[in-house]
Amino acid sequence: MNTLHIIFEAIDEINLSLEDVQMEKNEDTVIFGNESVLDSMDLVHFISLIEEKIEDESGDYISIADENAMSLELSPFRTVKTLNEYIKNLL
Amino acid sequence: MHNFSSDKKVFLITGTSKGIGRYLAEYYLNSGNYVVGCSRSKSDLVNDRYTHFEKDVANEADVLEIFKFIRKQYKRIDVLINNAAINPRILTAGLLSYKMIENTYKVNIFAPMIFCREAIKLMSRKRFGRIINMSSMAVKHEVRGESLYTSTKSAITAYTKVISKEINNLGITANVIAPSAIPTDLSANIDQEALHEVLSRNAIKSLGEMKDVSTAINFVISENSSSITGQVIYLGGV
Repeated sequence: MNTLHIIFEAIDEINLSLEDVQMEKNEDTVIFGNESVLDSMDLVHFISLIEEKIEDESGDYISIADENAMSLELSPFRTVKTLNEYIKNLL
Repeated sequence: MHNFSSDKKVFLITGTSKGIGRYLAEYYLNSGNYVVGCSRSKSDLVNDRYTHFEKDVANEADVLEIFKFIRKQYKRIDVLINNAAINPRILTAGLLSYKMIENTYKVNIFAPMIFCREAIKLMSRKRFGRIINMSSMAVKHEVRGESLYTSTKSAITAYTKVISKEINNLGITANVIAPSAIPTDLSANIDQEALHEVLSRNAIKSLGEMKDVSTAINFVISENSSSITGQVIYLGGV
């Protein structure tokens, strides 16, 4: 499964709901933190999109919610790259 | 599989084998909606638009299975009603066992929080959702011997108020309905003399009716009620 492609698809979808700024589709894009264009609820939406796409593709549901989600240092949602690695480890 | 009509709503109601949950499942099915229900026991409710899960709401894996079905079958959830609850025997705080406390918190608090978490993610996709968490008049009346049950219902009330602020910009509202005592198996377990003493403190001193609950829920789940969130509606003139 191409998890980076799934994340990029989710970015396309989340961009439809963002008005002023857009998320860039590259591995360095910040997902959570001061430099992110997502607020905490956008993040919930973004995560749910990724979970849905993984389930559609694999038939398995995995929860990518994490107790470190909101931690600037530990969050797997820091960047597209860290998220991609995190999801690969979960699968 | 039935033909899914998208102009009707998809309800997820916990604790639908009896009492208020059963009533609400039938009520919303009768108005043409789709209802997914669950309880620890089997259900004899038969309807093409009803799906029952014999699951433990306090088990996260069981909850995820229910949501997996909803995502596959309906791809959305419009209304979540966290109704399942246990009301342990009236017991003074000095005699509460750890097991009793743990079980009650698992069903009355952990379960609705997990249901809310999953529902919020699914509802966020459609930018619409209505969450109802059921509480109780016990929160207001602070009845002796009901510290455990009351504390869970206070907790769910506070939790609902907080999440209402978090999820508002996703088009999701969260409200609490706190019925007066309604004749159910749950209220039958309560000492009837004590129950009537508590009811005597309400403006309406008789037992409540099921339709009181559905009327209040209809108000908050309306698509026009998008600004009604974080509210607690006590029934029976508490």
